[in-house]
Amino acid sequence: MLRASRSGNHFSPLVVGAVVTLLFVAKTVRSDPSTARAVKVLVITTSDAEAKPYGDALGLTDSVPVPGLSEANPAVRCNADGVCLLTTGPGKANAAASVMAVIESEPFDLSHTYFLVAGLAAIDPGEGTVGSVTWAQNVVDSGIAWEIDARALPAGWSTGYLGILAKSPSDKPGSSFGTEFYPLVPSLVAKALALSESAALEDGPAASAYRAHYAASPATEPPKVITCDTTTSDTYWHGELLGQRAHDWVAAVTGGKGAYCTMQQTDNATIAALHRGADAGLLDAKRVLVLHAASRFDRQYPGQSAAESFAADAGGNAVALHNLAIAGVPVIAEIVANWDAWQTGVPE
Amino acid sequence: VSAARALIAGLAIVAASCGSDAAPAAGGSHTGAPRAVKVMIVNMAFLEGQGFVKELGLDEEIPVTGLGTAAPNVLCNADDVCELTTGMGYANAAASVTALIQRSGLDLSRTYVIIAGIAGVDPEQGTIGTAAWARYVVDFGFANEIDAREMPAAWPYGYFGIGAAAPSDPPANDYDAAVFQIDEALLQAAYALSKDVALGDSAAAAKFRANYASAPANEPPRVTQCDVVSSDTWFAGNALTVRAREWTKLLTNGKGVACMSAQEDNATLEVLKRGAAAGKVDLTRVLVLRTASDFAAPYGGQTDADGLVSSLAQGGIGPSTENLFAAASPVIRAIVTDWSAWRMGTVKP
Repeated sequence: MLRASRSGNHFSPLVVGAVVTLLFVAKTVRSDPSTARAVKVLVITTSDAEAKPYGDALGLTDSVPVPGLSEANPAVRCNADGVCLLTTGPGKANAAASVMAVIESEPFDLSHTYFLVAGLAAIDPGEGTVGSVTWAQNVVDSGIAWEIDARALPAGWSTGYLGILAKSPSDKPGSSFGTEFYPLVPSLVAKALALSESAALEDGPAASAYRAHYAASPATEPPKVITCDTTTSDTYWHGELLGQRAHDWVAAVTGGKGAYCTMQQTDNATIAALHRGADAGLLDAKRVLVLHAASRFDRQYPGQSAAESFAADAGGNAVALHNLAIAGVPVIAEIVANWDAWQTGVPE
Repeated sequence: VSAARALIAGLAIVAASCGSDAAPAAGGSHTGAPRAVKVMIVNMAFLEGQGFVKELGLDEEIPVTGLGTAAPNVLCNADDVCELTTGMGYANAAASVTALIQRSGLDLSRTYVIIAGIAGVDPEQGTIGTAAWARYVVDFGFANEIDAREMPAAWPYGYFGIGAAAPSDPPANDYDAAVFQIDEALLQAAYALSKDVALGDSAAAAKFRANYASAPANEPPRVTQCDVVSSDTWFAGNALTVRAREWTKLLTNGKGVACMSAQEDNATLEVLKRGAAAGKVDLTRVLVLRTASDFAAPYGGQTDADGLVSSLAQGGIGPSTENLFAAASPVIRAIVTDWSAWRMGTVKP
């Protein structure tokens, strides 16, 4: 693997894993089965592929079955130091169902837990590149909308998507389901970025060759850890035109505060479930982090068609899976190592 | 795509915040055995539930941890008929139904669940006010999409399956909420019990449907059997309606007939399936009823955009919400009246 040339520590996932594992092994195992397991960090992934590097790094050897989880991933996996991982399955239905099942299950005390929502995403080449790792500040649902086929647009419409009960794509939605927009806590996002931005991200020759097709930086440059906003839709869209729509949509939904950067299929549902838990007093929704690693671009490069771009292998899958843990694990390690401080809130 | 869910959500919040100070009631009875629910109505929006709550006297409030602030209670009557309003969209539906199963304390193991909401209707299958019992429930939204203006020239629309190379290819078989099939005996019983009920209509709906050239779009509503597609994205127009038809065929081996478009049902059914796997729900006792509040495709000469933007002006909110209860009530009555038989399984009418 090529390694991005960056300043700061150059530790591989294995080294990080070893450090973190040592850290955890040194602590006492909570052994009273009658007590709910107090979780310091719950990592939430959607697939086994996303979960694996975390499982490897964190030594998640304790399996806790939870009723209501998916058939494929029926248990939450934990280590002895209160770090746990849930794999939900793909899409909003699976994400909301699994997260809600864990929130409402007996074995876990989530009252002080930090939630690390971690998954692969596609990235806007204007904001990042294949292998980039992103901390979201704003999480916006792009699927809850009206839509007509884009070949039937009236004059003045830029896209077939518009807000529900709106009059046109530039009009405000006339409704809210309550799950459309989740701004995360800026101080927590900033802390996570600070803890991870010097991590040495992986890169690879295939990703490097593929990104060279794009016209400009940051798409053409090696990956970095950045802050950028994410959109959620079960519909995994691709291409320049729906990319422009995502850009305009995020700007509208966030009142101009957010900037579209990545797209994925689950996060608004995951966070919606976490907010149900917060409303019920079971957890603190201010302790949510959303981390993505870009396995691909969300649109074509100059001269390529949208369909060609969609079908292409951007060489980013393995790189992104590694980087997802390379950036996330140091944050988990810090929370665990300084739990006395983090337990009461994000340290200054 | 159930029209007006949006409007209705706002009303739900207002109504919830104006609710009376009901005494908290436990889902489990005081004798220790969990309360066995005979029928659980699952609505998404406040207005969808109003007919049930009023007509069935669902005035017992059972607070459930995790239902959220807009509709925090399951509502029941003395016959053990209950109602849940989930909120709109996949995330709310999945979260609320999970809460119901995990935290209500209710025994749902022999419960007949009726998912009941309003929807957009394909004019080839129904009209405003049509009440449809679904056999298949197909996820429309979990797919890939390229904007139709930049898709390959031969494609009929921009949607194509995950893991597929083109719209006509079947998707990868690894999404467990892609399609659900309702138990056939229960479906037939529900249809037989309800097919002759008088459905509500409205002068505005009658006037609007007259714009359509052929039946059933331009005829008064009836109870029927046809299928549901669901997506958070409320699609409309000719091309996407064709996609709903073809996608439904693709995912049901040609058997399903796309008809009602809704925004929750695959999420609700995914959670019920998980509940069944945990032994808490019987998936063969689940029905999906959708009534049409608006047309999913325009009439001849109307544009896709005009059809969509005028959804709420089609006179369908009254008839669709009214007809949910009208079509479901004979089924509920049969189950409650002859519970000793229905408790063991579907009774053929």
